[in-house]
Order: sequence, then C-alpha cells, then structure tokens
Amino acid sequence: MLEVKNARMLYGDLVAVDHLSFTIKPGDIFGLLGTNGAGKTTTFRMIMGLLEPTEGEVLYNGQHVGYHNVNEIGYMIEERSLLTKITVKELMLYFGQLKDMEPKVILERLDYWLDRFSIADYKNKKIKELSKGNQQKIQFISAIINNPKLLVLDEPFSGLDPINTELFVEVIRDFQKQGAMVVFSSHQLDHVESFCEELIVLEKGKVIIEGRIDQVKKDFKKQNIKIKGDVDVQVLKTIPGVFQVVENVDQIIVKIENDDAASRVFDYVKTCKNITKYDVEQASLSEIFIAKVGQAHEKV
Amino acid sequence: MKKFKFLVKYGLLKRVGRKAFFITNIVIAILSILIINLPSIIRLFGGNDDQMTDLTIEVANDLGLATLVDDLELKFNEGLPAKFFLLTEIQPSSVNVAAFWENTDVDVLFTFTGTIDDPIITIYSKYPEMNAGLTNQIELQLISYQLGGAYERPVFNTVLAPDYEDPEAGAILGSISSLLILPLFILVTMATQFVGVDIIEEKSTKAIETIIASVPANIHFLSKIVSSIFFVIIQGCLILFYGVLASLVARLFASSPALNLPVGQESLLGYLGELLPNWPILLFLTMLFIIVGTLFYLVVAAIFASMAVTQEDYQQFQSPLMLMLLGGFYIGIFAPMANGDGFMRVMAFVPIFAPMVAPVALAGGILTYFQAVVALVVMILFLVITVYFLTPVYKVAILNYDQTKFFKRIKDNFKKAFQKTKK
Repeated sequence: MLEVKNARMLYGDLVAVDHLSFTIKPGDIFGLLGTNGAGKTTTFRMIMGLLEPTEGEVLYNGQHVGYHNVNEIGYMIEERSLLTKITVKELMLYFGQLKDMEPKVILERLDYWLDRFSIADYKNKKIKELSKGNQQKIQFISAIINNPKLLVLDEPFSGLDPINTELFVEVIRDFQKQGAMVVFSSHQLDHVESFCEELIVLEKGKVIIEGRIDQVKKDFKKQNIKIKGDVDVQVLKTIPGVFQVVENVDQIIVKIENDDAASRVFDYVKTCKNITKYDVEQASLSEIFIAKVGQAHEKV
Repeated sequence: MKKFKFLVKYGLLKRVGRKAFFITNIVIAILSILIINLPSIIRLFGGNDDQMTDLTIEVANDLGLATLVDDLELKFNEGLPAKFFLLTEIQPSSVNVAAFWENTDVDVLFTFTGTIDDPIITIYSKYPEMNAGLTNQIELQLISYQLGGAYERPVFNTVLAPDYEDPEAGAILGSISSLLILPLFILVTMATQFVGVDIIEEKSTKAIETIIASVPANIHFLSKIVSSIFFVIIQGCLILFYGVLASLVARLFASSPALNLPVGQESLLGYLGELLPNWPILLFLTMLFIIVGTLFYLVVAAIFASMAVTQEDYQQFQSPLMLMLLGGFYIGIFAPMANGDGFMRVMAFVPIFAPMVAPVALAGGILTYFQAVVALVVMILFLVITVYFLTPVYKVAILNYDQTKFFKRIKDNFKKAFQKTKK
C-alpha cells in the first residue's frame, strides 16, 4: 500500500504541494491530474524518494520510500529520459542492473516486452535512431522491466497514437490484475476516465477534486442533456437552471446546473415534436476539470 | 555497494572499452616514443654544432716534477681520436686567478703545490662538469709517480667562477617540468572531461531522473569519481609503459653503430636517470600527488557538471576548473625557468596547484621529502573537506534544471543543499 500523508513541499516560499494525502491499495489505478505546474511531478518525486517532503511523509508498505525498496518500484518520468547514444539492449542492461536485476533476466524480459510492443527489431538500435513513439515505448519498458509492485507513470501516453495508447493501457491493466499499484498523470482525461478508479486533481499544489471518479461525477451537480428533435433553443435558454445550450450539427446539448433543471427541461421537451433522442448524462471529467480548475484560478 | 560496484564498472568500461580509447592510446604511445627519443632523433639530423673542439688548460706546477705537464697531457688525451686537452705550463708566481676568470682563451687552471708524495691540487674550472673526469686522470698519474712508496691520496680543491650557475639544475627542472606536468595535465584534463561529459550526458537527456530513482545521488557521485580515477590510473600506467617502451627504443638507437651514441645520453629517460638517482621515491610521491590531485579536480568537475543542464552550459561551468588547472600547469612549467624557487615552494602547499607544482618542486630539490609529505597531507585534508561539503550540493544540483545565471545557480544550489542538510 502507498500512503501519502499530509505531504507538503516548499521551494523557498513557493508551496509546490500543500498538505496532500491519499492512499493507493494493491490493484488500484490512481490518477493524479492538474494543469502544468500544479505539483504532479513534485508529488511523483516525493513518492520516489527523490524529494523529501518539507512536512508529512510518504510510506510504501508502511516504510519510508528509500533505496531499500526502490527495486519494487517502476518510474517513468514525463519527458524522455533515455541515454540516446547507446542501444536499447545496453540501456536496459544499465537501468535493469541499477534495479539489482541479473543481466540474463533483463534480456529475457526485454525480449518479451519488445515483442509485445512490436519493436523486437530495435533491440540493437541506438535510442537516437528510434522514433519518438518507439522511444516512449522503450521508456515505458524501462519502467516495467523489473515487474514493479508500484508503477509511477508521469504522462505515459504523451506523444502516442491511439493504437499504441491502447497497448499501454492493456499493459497497465495487466499490472493491475497482478496486484500492482499504479499512479499516473495524464492530460488526456478520456484515458483517466476510462481506466482509473480514483483520482486527485491538484491546482497550484492544492487538492481541488478528490475521490472515486463515479462519486466525483455524482457530486458534480451539473449535467448534460442531449436532444434530437424540433426544440426551440431560445426557450431552452430561458429555463431556470440551464446555463448553456450548444447547437451541434445533429443534436443540441443543454448544460444544466442540477436535477431540478433536468425536470424542467424534460417538461418542456415533452411539449415538442419529433423528439428522437433525450439523454441525460453526467458531466465528463474534462468538464469537471475545466470547471474546478477555472474556479480555483478565480479564487487566486 | 552492489550498485556502486556496478556503476564504477559500467563507467570504466564505457571509457576503456571504446574504439576512441584504443586510437588515443596508439597516438599517445607513438608520441611518447618520439618525444622521449627526441635527442637521438635530433642527432640523426646532425646536431652538436656547438660541440667543443678542445679544452685549454694552464698548469702551475710547484711540485718540482719537470715531466708533469707532458705526462698529464698524454694521460688526458689517451684513447681520444684527436688531441682535445691542450696543456700549457705556467710559472706558479704568475698565477692570477681574477685574470683567469676574465680570460676567454683558457678554460681550466691547475695549481700543483706541496710535494709529489703529498700534493695539493686546486682546480679553477669554467666547466665544472668535467672536474670529476680530470681529477680521476690526475690521481691516476700521481699514483704512477708514487709507485714503490706508500700511496697518499692527493688533496683536490675545486673553485668555481664567481658568476657560475649550474646549468644542470636548470636542465633538471626544465626536463622534469615538461616530463611530469605535461602528462599530468593531459591526464587530469581527460579525466575531468570524461566525468563532466558523462554526468551532463545523463542529465541533459533526463536519464538522471531514472538513475537517481534507483541509486542514491551520493553513490552516483562517488561512482563517477572512482571510475574516473581508475581510468586515470589505467591510463597513467599505460603512459608509464609507453615510457618503458620508448626507453627500449632508445637502447636500440644507442646500440646502432650508425649513430655511435654514448649510452645514457641517448634519451630523456636515460638523462633523467642520471640526474635523479632517487627516482623511485620521487615516482611514488608523484603518483600520490597525481591521484589525490586528480580526485580533487574530478570532484570539482562533477559538481560543475551537476549544476549544468546542457552540454553548452557545461562548457561555461568548466571554465573555472580549466583556469585552476592551467594555473597549476603554468606555475609548474614557468616557475623553474624563472628561478622562482620560493614561489614554487609556497604554491606546492596550495591544494589547487599542488598536484602540478609539488612533484616538480620535489624533483628539483626545492621541496624536501618532509615538506612534500606535508603538502600531500594538506591536499588530502582539502580533498576530504571538499567531498564533505560538495556531496550535498551534488544531491541538490543533479536534479535541478534551473537555467539561471552562472553565479546565481551556484549560490542557489549551495543554499538549497545546506537548507536541506539543516532540516
């Protein structure tokens, strides 16, 4: 289990992370979201023991994260962090041995992962000769080569096409099934929404959203109603609780404040003709994120 | 410890297992052989234009032995292809030492006083390096006169010109300076470049984040230093080996009948071997100075590299280091030429210059063994203090990607390092 307890990180007078607490249990996939500079990377560095929190603590299976248990952790940083002048094989042997792995085991696992990511031909190629996407795969393999029990992924999908993103998601899910804890950050909120159960959204070091995704969505009262049919947009806009009406090519999206507004919109739509679609949906994570981060900015 | 050993091994293999290492060493070996055999090579092209053709000696004979001057002339020129020593007898009463020193036509003046059984010989010589050979010949001649009686060893007094400066002292220091400092300078520069480039490569590619996530920063720091010092030791030993190889080549030169060179003068090593009979101790102390000095420079190079973010950035950060190195280099090379004994003695105790200056000062007799050991101890203490204070800075700087101005970045890293230590 990973426990971040009331962690606070100061850089001089700047509060990078302010009293952050969360727990990740084996088999959990945990999302850490936020705008640039929100404190995600600082949090990851604290988890990895690269930074010591100014206050609070980070515990991995009840112990402080340190070099005694780092071999059980896989870490992928946001930017490319590969030695570009050496080959894929040399790099994996280097990074793997730093995790106390035997060269034979490293090479066996490397063959497996290269095969799974369909880049077996690149084993003896220099990193700099690989495309950005393939470099990202190599970086991901370097994080999982030691079969980690805790996987810390900072923007793992950055620069990947949808097919390779799906490949990454599959591998992460495999680790989840094996009982690994996964904590990751991403700007692609649809991925967060699709496979992460719990999240925290940080803004300027402070937590602005936290909890299970379904609960977060439930707590966020605003909803979207998608309508197809002969409705008058101007009337919809005058209904109390409706704060925005978006006209798309094939449908109208009515954004409402709460359940009461949904009832009022429904009462109006019942009076209209040719209605072929009426869906009430919870707001997307992206909308929640924009709304909450916007509020946080306004407060600042 | 396992990771430390792995990092040291990895760092070392990265340097010595490369094609560049082999090519560099082939070049160094060829250059060493050429430089060390330079005197022989020069002679191949017809040197020795300023060689003496004769030596004029005046003899004031007060022993009452009429044949002395003729006998000595025969003795001196024995075995020589041409008459080199020209001896002239003068009256003892006409000896004027002051005039002799001024007179450019006469090179040596002998005065023989006392008796044939108990002679006193005074040698006034403008070429004191020849005195030993001349006294041997005189002694042999006097023995032949004393045959049958009890042999009495003659008394020899040698007098040097009032303005005489020993050319060998300058030659010793000059030779030692170039022979010791140049390889040392090249070695330290190579090692600091390696450690700097190594660290900056890992940092600029951000691979350092993955590495430091697996290995403590201080282990990473020390492993870089240790692998570099092992590299220096290996490279240093190879240079010594090239020296031995060059010496063997020099022997081949000497044995060549076409050259007809006197043994011992055919190479710089042979020349130094004659001038520095205590070379084993000197070599040992020099090695210690090189190792400790290189360690110090490596620590500083590693710190500067950890503060840099890009290769270009590192070029700027290594300037102070190169200035320190160059300072030591120039002091070691030029101070002996300028007879700056006092200056060298002081600089030998300044840790940043000591690695270059102390071995030269020791070899030149400017430092005693005791003083050299004290200078070494000062350097070791300085190194320990440097490592102690700079390791926390490395831990902060290696993951810091600030690209502020040079001095601000140094200041900020030190500030953060010691804030962190206090916590």
